[in-house]
Amino acid sequence: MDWTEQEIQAIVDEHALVLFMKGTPNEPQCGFSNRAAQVLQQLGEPFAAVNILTDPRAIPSVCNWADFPTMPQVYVHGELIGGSDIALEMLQDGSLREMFDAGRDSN
Amino acid sequence: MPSYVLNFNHPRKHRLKAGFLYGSTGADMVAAEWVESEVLKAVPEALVEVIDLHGSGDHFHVRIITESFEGMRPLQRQRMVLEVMKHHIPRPIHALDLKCMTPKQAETAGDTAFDPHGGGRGIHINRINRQKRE
Repeated sequence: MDWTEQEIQAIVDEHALVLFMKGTPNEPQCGFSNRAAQVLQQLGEPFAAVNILTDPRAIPSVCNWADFPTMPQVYVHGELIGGSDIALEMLQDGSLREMFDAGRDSN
Repeated sequence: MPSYVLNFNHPRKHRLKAGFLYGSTGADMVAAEWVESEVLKAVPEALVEVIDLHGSGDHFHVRIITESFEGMRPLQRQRMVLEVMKHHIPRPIHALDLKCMTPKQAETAGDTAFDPHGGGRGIHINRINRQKRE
């Protein structure tokens, strides 16, 4: 994994839900990443968690590719929704479920 | 090289103004007032409230309230603000938790501040505690 744009794109294309985070859902290394992982766990759908602390190139590569400067980042059907604050907001108002289901129907 | 790795946009005087300098390590620190003034460059008409989550000058929760967010999706709202703020991340600002609301949403939002290290977890908490001890 060299964190090229193609490789990052392939990850979000391949999985309906992707979380780029610091650490893992079981061992989160940042409170924001922990909050985002909990949101996706509450959604109850399988998600791919990518630990961006495994390689110092990961954060700048993903942030540049996404044009979004912070971690974590949550992707639904390949589209960035934002960080943990937006993910939580969208879980609570139901729009995360709506967006997930809508994309699943069209695939 | 990514543009945010090198950052010359934050004048040193703001770091010196920050008032919460734990030790003189030269660590990046900015004042909440400076964060507010930077956010206002992106959304001049907004009501902006900045909370320095640890008094460490690098973790901020920012509430941004303006009518112009009406009809915009959450990410669109943040991108407006990040257009300016991305140049200050990851230095001098390490964590930036944005809450972008319309005035109507703000009425019912209550306390929005979230402390990422509230549970004592995280790789940065040790650095912050160390700085406080110094």
